Amino acid sequence: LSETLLSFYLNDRYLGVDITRVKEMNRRVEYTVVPGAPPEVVGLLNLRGQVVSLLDLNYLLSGEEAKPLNTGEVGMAKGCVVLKSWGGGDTSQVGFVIDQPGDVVEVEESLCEPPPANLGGMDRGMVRKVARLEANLLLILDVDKLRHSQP
Amino acid sequence: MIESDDFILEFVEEAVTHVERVEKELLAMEAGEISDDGINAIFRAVHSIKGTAGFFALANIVRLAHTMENLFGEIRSGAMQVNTTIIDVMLQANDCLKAMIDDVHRQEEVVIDAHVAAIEALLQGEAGPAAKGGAAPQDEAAIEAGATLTLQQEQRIARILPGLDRGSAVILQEALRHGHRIYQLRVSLTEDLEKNGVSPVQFFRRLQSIGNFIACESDTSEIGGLDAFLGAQIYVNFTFTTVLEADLAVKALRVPGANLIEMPLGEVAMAEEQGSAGVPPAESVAIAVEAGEEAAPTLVESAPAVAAIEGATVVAKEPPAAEMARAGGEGGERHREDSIKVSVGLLDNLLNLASEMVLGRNQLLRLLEGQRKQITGLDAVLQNIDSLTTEMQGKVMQTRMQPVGNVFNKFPRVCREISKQLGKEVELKIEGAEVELDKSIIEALADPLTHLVRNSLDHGLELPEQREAQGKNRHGSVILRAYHEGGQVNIDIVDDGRGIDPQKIKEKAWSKGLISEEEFGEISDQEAVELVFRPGFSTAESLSDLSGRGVGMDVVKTNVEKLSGTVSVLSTPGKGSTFRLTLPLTVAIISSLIIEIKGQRFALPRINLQEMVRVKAGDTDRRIEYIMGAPVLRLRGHLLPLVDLAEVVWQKEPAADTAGKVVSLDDRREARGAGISRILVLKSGSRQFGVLVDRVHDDEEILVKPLPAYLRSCHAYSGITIMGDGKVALILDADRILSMAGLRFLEEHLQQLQQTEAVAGDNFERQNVLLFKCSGEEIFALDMGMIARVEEVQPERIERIGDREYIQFRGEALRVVRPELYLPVTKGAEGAGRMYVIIPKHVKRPTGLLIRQIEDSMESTVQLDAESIKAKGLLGSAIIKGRLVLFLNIFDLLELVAPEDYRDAELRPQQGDGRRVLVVEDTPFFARMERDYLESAGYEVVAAANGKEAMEMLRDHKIDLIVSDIEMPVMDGIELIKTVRADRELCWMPAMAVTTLSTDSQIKAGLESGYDYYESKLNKISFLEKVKLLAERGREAV
Repeated sequence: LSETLLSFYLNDRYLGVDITRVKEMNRRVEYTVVPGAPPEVVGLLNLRGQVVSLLDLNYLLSGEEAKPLNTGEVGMAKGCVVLKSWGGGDTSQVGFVIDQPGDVVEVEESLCEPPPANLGGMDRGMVRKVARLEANLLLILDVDKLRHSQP
Repeated sequence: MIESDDFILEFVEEAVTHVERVEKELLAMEAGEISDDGINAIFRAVHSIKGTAGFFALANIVRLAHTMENLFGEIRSGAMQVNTTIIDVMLQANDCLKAMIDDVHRQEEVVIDAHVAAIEALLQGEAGPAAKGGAAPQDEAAIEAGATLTLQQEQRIARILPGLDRGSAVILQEALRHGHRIYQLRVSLTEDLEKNGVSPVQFFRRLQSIGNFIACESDTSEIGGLDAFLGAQIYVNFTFTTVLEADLAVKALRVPGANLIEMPLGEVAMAEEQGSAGVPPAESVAIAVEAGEEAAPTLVESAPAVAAIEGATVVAKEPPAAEMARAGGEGGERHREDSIKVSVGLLDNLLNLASEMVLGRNQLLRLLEGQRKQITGLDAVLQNIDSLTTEMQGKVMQTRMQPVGNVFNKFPRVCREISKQLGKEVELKIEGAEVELDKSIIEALADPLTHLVRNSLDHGLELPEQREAQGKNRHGSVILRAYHEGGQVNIDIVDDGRGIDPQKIKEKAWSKGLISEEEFGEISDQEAVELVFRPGFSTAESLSDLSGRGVGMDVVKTNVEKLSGTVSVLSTPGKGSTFRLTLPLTVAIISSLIIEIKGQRFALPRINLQEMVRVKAGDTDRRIEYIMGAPVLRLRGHLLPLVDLAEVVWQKEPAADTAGKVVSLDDRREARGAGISRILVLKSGSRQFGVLVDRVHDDEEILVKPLPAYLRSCHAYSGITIMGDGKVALILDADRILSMAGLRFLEEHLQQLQQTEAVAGDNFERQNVLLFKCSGEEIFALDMGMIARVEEVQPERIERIGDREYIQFRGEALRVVRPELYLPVTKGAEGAGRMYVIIPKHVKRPTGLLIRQIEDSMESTVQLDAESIKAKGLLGSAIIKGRLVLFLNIFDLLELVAPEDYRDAELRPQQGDGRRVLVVEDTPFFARMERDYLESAGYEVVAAANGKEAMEMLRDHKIDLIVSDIEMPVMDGIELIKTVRADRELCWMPAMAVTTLSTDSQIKAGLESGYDYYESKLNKISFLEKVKLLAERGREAV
């Protein structure tokens, strides 16, 4: 039993998401900052006429707020992952900012285990499990947790 | 015989399409799409088959089609519901019908009894247990359809047309309701049709095109089947209805008139509908015809029928054209329609795509702007794409536009019902029903409008006795008015009732815990009145009897806001209330101003923007001052609270620096290098406030997308959009910004604002003006009444001959001029891109004004200031929506342009010879223009604003002639001239009417009341010529 994951790097973390949930990955994106937005929202991205809400995984994982941009309308990100919409009438487009894309990796179920108990800042249960890869540890995220809870 | 075969073939072809239609509709019903349209389509299809088949004596087809028609007649009238059994039986019957039609020569051999029996079982099965006798479904149908046939009339129908089936009876009733007459026509297939080369099918179509086919019978007893039938000399008796009179019907059908008789039923029905006793004459006519019918058909020429026709013309008026058209439309496939049905879903898709395309075009233009010169031919291509896209978007939008009358129309009825219920007397006036709005807005308006109208009737208007006690008219008045203003549509619901008592509202709000005790004391009257829009203001107890003030008002507000509209209320206790809905023309795309704060662009819907004020350093009239640290702007004698938009959307606490010292707005903005240049005045309800932004970009039409769920907590925005360059921008929500900025409005201020508005609204006529820009920065204005049309023109179409410029317009050379070259205004560079030509009315030689940009068109009151800015070609200046606008004097301007055309102008100063003209005009703008014209021709001018003032002037001054408007407050122009003509000393006074009202009947009324001339506003030359004639007449009289 194995799972195919899209891996990427963010703030020195090695993270992965279920590749079947990913719509696309983009490098170097410009986005619009939303003044007064909640801390988990980085900004809005125009993806071929669809507006994608870009989220800050770093904040969601650790609670560290990103440094606010100074002035200038455009935010720049090194890259982003856009998820497929959840369906069921929820057509909102969601993505998150990444530092650097990684590979597509196949992970055996036997290499995975629940997140260790001492992992901090996880109150949202963002990390579904941890895979013990040879070179490093891969944090596998639960993208459903990114879904906006309030209707 | 060959021809007859052709006839048959034609019948078969047509019948097959009908059968197929029936099948398609039945299948759609099986899939759950049961619609009235579908039911009607089936009904009409089988009805047509029956009608034409009757011609050929195709007895089996007629019988089966007839039974099917009956079934659907019941369904159509609502007496039966479509269910799966019906669909099954009908499908089988339809298959059988199809088989017979396919092999029409052997249709007699087909056994149809099973199908007929099955359908009849359905008919009895349904009608029986529901305890509905034969008449009941018809009654119900009649009620359903709003028919007004009485039982008596039905009996008469039954007597005159015995054996009329229910399906046909339904058609007959509908036809009578539309003012149709009933005729019977005897047609010979060979003599009347075949000889003239008319096929039965064609004949049937012709019949259906002028009216409704009801029934036909042919004496086929001696004829055995189709083959025998075709050879025989046979007469068919048609019963049909039409609005046409007998002689016209004969012409339309191209049959000998002798064959047509009119059944007097139409008259009977009408006479009784009028509610008159009407029975005896009608009865006698009916009996006479009945008697006649038994012996031999009464000819049209015979006395009773003629009487019937005459009676019908007297009693029953011709139905209005619209109704005739509707009656025509109901008949189904009578003629090829030049419109097709398209699903709304498809139109929505199309609209979305068109909108995206507009955005795509904007991106393309922006991207290629730099390359326009480098790449040969690019410019033309871009312009082409630009205009095509604009036009396409416009057309797509147009497909969705519907007149607001569609929703207004139901209110006379609603009003009548409610006022009856409440025991009130109400006169409902509907104005502007032709104003168009997007379909989705129209649909969503029904509920809010019903709430508001109901509210006005229920709470606004007093009982008749109370009204009389207060010296008001017994009849309350409710006005439903739609009109354009500044690219939006306003809908006003105005009542002249008791108004809203702010104190009572406050008390109620307080008792419901909506406002605190503290607020109770502080809240202004206007704010109190607006409490009716608060959720929770209306309660369950009042919902049940619909009588709590503000029932569902919060729902109204939410619904209107969903449409990107606003709702506001103005009320004067004792005088009445006005609820005003302000709506965008379309939902999907709104016009908005792109502004910049801290380097980021935002869209501000124009609907919230009242005006833009430019602030210059050192301008003492418009300077920012501080009251205890709160920045305000002096604007036209009022203080406008100011808010820095950056501080609101970024939600910083800015007012104090680290030392706790209050830092002025100037300094704060200076600190981030913004400075203060422009202030946007926003309105939210009746409240105004100014916001500071860093930069103002262009207006852009933006496609509104909903705010993503993650941003629902950001209150400053109402949505998002993608701009021309592909960036996402946030749409600002003025109402929320107001509350986020924590602005509190005090009573006096609002009252002042209202008063200014009221003064402007009461005393002056509103004018439609077009605002535009030439190459410079100035905004010019023209009254719409002066403009014949406005055309878009590409600069390359402008051709030069010598120093003059021309365009081709409707195949002729039209001279165009650039106004800025003749006026003391700024002249900009000649840019590329489209321009517009304004073609004025009432000018001697057609000349177009070439302008750069249309700014706006709006209805507004204009207070023309002729002193501050003076120049030949300008009437003066005015402030419209906070902008300084220059009104052009088109005649002076064209005189500057082409003095040779106006040479006789030089003679004019002598014309007047110092005679004194009394100008009576309530619109200052026109008063000014008329004065200008008259003074330029050497007259002396005194002015009055209405008839009453004019009479005073006439008594006190020596006046030589009168020039008067018709529509005026206090005393209008008609009354004025009547008074003048009745006065022994003034009756000789030469007078002319100058007005925008200019239909023939109005001109006639004006002349009859005593004016010597009638002139429409406002052609300088013919105006002065008529004044000259008047002056001469005056001299003769003296």
